[in-house]
Amino acid sequence: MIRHLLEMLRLMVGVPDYERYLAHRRTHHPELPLPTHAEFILERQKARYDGRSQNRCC
Amino acid sequence: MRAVMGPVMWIGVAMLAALALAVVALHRGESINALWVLTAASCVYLIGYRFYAQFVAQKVLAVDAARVTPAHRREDGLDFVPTHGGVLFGHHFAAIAGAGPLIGPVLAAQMGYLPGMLWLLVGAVLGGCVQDMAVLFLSARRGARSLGDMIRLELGAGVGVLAQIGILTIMLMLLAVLGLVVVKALAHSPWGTFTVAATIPIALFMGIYMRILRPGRIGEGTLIGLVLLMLSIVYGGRIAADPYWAGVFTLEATTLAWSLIVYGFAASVVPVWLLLAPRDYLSTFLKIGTVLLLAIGIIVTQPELKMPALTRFIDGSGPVFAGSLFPFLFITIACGAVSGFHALISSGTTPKMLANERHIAPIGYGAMLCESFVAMMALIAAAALEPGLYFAMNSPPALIGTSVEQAASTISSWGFLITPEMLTQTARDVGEGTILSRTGGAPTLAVAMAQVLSSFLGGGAMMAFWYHFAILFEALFILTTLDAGTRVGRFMIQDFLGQVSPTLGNTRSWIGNLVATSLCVAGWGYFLYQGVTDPLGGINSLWPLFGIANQMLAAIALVLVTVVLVKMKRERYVWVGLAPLTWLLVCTLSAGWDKLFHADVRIGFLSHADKFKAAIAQGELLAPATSMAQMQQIVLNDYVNASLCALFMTILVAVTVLGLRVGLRSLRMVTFTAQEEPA
Repeated sequence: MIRHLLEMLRLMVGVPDYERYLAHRRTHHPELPLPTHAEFILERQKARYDGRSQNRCC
Repeated sequence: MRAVMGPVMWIGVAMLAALALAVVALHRGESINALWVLTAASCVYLIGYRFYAQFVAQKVLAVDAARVTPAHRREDGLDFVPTHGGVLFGHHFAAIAGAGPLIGPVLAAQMGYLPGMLWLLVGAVLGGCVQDMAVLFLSARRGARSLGDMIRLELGAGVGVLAQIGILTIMLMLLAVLGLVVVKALAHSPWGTFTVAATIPIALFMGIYMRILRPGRIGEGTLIGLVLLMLSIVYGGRIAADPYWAGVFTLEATTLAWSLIVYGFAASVVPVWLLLAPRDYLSTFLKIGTVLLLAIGIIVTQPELKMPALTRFIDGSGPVFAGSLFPFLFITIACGAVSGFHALISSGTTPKMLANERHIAPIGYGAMLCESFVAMMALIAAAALEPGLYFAMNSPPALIGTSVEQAASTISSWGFLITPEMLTQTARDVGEGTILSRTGGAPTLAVAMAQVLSSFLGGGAMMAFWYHFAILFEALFILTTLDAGTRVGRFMIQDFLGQVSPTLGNTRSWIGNLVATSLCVAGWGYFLYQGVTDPLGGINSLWPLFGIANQMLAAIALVLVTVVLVKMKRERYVWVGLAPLTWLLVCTLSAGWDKLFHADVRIGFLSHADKFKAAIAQGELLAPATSMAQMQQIVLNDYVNASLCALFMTILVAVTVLGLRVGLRSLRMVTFTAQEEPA
């Protein structure tokens, strides 16, 4: 319940689950180095506000 | 047992809905309790969700729980992530809910609470929710493509370009009208201006905190920011009371408009982690928190609605915006009933995270019902104000004058009794110099929220705090939208420029970036400045243009939905898209026609231009122009607005005709011709 609530709050500002991303990277790209949490956040911020995605409404 | 209890319960809900609606519609007294409106709305939403949403999901769209969604097919841990249904609902609701559902209903309250309430209910249940859900479904079946891409794919490249132009212009109108709302709320308000200005250093500090001091700790950074924000509201009261600093933060509307334009440009070129991201975090959580607070406040305090069910202004002579109930109510309230913008969100990030097609109804239909509920709260809050106060805040100075005595006597002569003392006292209660002609909806909502919230949190002493809290919440949200929206607009403009010059189209090119950003800011800045200096108060001309643009986009999305239903060989359900589409076409085109050609100068752009041209020919000056150059400017603005209105109507008619041709062609096919990704 709490876990889902936190996940929802983060997703409201466009940040998906870091651990899940790490798990994805380990399974699919084990040869590549893993991003740190701060790198991950920065990448997500750039992706959310790059102008390509319409993620807010009137 | 359950088989019996289910139907019995739903018959009960239906009877309660009918009872509450009858009470609300037939009530003819001094005032009516908001609880009746809330009960009617909740029951209608529940019935809409239980029966119509399930019908559309199961029979019309035929969602398939066994089908693999893009989130699974393309899972990348970042954008494409299968997400828990409830979590995704929260994400989607946060993305669709904004300032629109809080402003439109407040403006529409000039006609009484009943028309707005009924349109919110019918529009959402049969139109807006269906649009959101259907577009989410279409996108989920097409690799989470955007609305523009899907239109190109299903209706052809030509229709795609038309839709793209429509999306860019609605973006510019949105930014201009939201900017106008902020300017109108902050003009001559040192307290409000200080708190909103304080959000800039607060956001910069948060940005540095989350990037350098404690990298990646966005939760901590946001909490610190929220605390600082609350302190800035408290401190703003001291600023407003200080003779020197109050002067510094007391700004004219035109100064504020220029500041917003310069700020919009600057903010959209600095790195996102420094300003935009932290401010977005603040505004998102403040928005969700405030919406919940407003809902709780109204449910707990159950205010009496003092606005009549219908006012005399349904005839089109209203001071807030001119134009009769049909068609203008239906374009004034877009967000909360049917909002075309949602089609962009439903084909944005949400379909990339949809874990199962079963979630389409709760997320697409359900989140829109929640937005409609938020709009209903705003309507209730506005209608709970003393009507005389509502009209004093929302009428332009040209109609009610600039002193409390003039305003009170004019508004009382309309039949809404108010005294000069009440106007002065309310201004003092909320910590402002004056509340006259604070148009744009945000200040009205802020006063209404202050009354609701202070009556159960903090009492009268907290009125001024809650008023500025509400102003800050709206302004913060709008500034974030100006910044993010300018980036989106820049990207769209670069898309177009790229077809002429590859350098300008390159999003990594500095020149291309600057040119496109300037064009975008100039685009909304022009309309913002025009609105601020408009003789009729700005909202009167800009909000209908925005409403027409928004409903135009909704109609385009419904053309797509309708045609794809035909292509999927679900012709017998085609009315699910066609009925709301027809209604939107009728409303939007008649409103557009009125805005162009109506003989009343407060409605028709061309007759307004004629009036000023005639005066110029006579060598006369008409207020508020103080020079012939300004007279010429007003005429030019009218022609620009008229052209834009004509453009919206042309795009709408062209997309409809071209789209329905594709639909008719598909009707003759015997097989499924929609371009879905294979299951």
